[in-house]
Amino acid sequence: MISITAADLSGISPALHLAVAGIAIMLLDALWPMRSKLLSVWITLAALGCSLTTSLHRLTAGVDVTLFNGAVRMDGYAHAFSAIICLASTLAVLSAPKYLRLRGVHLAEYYALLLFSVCGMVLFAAAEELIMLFLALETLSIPVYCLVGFTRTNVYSTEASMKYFVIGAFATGFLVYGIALLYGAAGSGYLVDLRAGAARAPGLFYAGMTLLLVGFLFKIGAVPFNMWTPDAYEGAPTPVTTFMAEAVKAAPFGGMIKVLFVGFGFDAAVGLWQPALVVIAVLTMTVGNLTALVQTDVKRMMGYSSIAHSGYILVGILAASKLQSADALAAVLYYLFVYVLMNAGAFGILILFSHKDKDTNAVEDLTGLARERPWAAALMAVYMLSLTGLPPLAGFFGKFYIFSYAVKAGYVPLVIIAILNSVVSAYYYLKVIVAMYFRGPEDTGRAAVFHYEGYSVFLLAMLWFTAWGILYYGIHSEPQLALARLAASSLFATAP
Amino acid sequence: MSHLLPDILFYVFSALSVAGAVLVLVNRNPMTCAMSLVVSVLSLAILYLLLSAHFLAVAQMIVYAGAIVVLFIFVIMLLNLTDEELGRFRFSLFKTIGAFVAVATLLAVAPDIRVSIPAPAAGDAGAPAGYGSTKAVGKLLFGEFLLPFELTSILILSAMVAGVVLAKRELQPKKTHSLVDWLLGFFRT
Amino acid sequence: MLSPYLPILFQLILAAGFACALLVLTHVFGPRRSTDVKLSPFECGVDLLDCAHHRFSVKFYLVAMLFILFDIEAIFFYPWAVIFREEISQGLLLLSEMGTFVAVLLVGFIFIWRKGVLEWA
Repeated sequence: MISITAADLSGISPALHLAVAGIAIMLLDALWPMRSKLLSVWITLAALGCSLTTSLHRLTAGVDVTLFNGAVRMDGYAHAFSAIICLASTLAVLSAPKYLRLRGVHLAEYYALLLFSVCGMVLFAAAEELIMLFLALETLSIPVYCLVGFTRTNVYSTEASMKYFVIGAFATGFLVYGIALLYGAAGSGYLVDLRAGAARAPGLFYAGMTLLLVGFLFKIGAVPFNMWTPDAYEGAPTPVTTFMAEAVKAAPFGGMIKVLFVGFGFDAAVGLWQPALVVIAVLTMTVGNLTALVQTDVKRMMGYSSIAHSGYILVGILAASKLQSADALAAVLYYLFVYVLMNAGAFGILILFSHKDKDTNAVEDLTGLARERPWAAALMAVYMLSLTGLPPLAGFFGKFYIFSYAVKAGYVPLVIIAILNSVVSAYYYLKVIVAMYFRGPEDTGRAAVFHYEGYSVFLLAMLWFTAWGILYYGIHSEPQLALARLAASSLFATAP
Repeated sequence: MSHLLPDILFYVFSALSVAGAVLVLVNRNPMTCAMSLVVSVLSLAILYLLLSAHFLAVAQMIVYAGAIVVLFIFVIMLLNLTDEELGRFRFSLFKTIGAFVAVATLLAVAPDIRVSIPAPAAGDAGAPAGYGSTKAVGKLLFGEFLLPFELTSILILSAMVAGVVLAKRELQPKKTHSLVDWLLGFFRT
Repeated sequence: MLSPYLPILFQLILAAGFACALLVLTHVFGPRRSTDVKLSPFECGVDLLDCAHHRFSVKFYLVAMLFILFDIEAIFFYPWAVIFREEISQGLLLLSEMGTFVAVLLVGFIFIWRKGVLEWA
């Protein structure tokens, strides 16, 4: 028998806080339902805050420990992902209570499920072993399937939940089959041992690698595995969409990059995944952006835009794998951080103006916002311009770093396609700004009235923080990049 | 004879499990599919037994044949689809592509199957002693794989909450008791 | 290799043979007088009202799902029980490992109980 020490428990405390808080919320809700709602918001925020600060502290302190007999490794990389995910989830939680109360589904279960999902996300980026990876991914996904259908009386919400669940379960099937084949090829489930399988049993190895990649690409919504994204984004309650667009988006990259870099490696004989990802990245960017052009619903448009952003991130991953440099991977982490801020803000504005019975989701619904609510319009404009990638906002620097490393890696055609795509994307992001600033009731024929029905102090704090982050961390990106480099170099320390 | 019997059993039950799986795919009636799945799942359990993986065999029977297929049947009865709703089998481009991918995967994997056996297979003495036994599984589960095991409890818990949230009619309790009421309740009754 | 299973095989054959033999014997020796009433699906009890293919309430589904979840929990006790005696020197650790697992699921049980999921109405 192998013993478990206190060091193991303290090492995974970022995940442990979340799991314990989730269980505490369930117990509280079961035993004291009168007060459980408000308390659970605070418990959730406290747990996320604890995990966030612990992760950040350990990231800067350079903690690097392998725990639970090699199942997980809490190194700089895992801590960085944990920090990004906890930040993203905090933003999503801040936007939730008022909206859920408007919809009459403000339940403690929401926060318990969310915390379990975040716990899975933290462990997913830390997993060193395929079984752990699989279980973390399931813990990450299953609560989200339910959260998407959380407004149970809403047909669209239920439909989105069903679609997301069925397709997600299907993707999991691919992933598990891939894991089985890789284990068969390598004779071991540990990521560092996987590469040996390529020589031992090439057929099993490549089939397994393909299936595993398909599973991952489903989760990040890459073309051609993207069909669930717009429906799930549109149907889900907006705070859940916020959570999906940032945390659920960023987390799969954590496990995926680790499996690619540590598990498969960059060796040309093993690195067949690189050319495959080039094709996927081009398709993902192009299809995502072109379909986003014709959308009239902001949530749906953001769904397609998130597909396109997956494509940009794939470009960054490819550059990092070609250069094998921590700096290039740091650019990807920085991009994820910025992406979290931009998305949280954009959905936050939609929540701010959502009504008791209906959401404010259509681009048309935002017509004339600048006249009525100039501050809210200005914030939305910041998010949209940052998503487009306009300097000096953080979104620009995110893209800039990724593309410059991709050029350095020799992916010039890929970068040209990515930049063309960014130009195309300007059309649909600016469409929102045009509606807010340059159109009024005379254009749509109906007077739009904007009430802050979704307003809460939490949401306001979230909006101002994200906007400040986008403005501040764009120009002062160096501290964030330094942290990201620290994280990335710890991954490259284990990669071949 | 003693060497022949396991071989015969292996071929019989592998054929049965493949046949069951194929029937799940080609049948239009969901109930027949579920029953074919039972055949496939139970044959697999026998194959695990032949490999001396007793725990896996028991888990396969209790969890899969015993519980999961029962849940499938519940869902089939819940939906109770008629023949018209099910529609007829149609060939489509995607199904054809899918079939090709399946065959290609099989061809890619087939030559390497022997490699994946943990020790060189020479007769019955292939696997190391005790490999796959309940004891070995237990030692792995409560030693090396402790964290995945504990994570399973969180996974089960979240599935529980998710199921209750989606399927329970009333989530807000009508009459709410506080913890104190609840504790007092023990003394009252 | 398979000799330990021989008794099980014999028992299976015996059980199947006994069941088949009984069916055949009643078929051969039993008198058969078929009438319309006797051939109806429910010979005793209420008259046939309508088709038996009703949609089931989702309540059954919830209970079935919870059953599976606790079933999966229970299956983990097998390997635990098997190794417990052998690893008795680490008994406390093993106990706490299983204790944590069960405690987490106990919270789930308290949750569904207090939410009234176990009440049928």
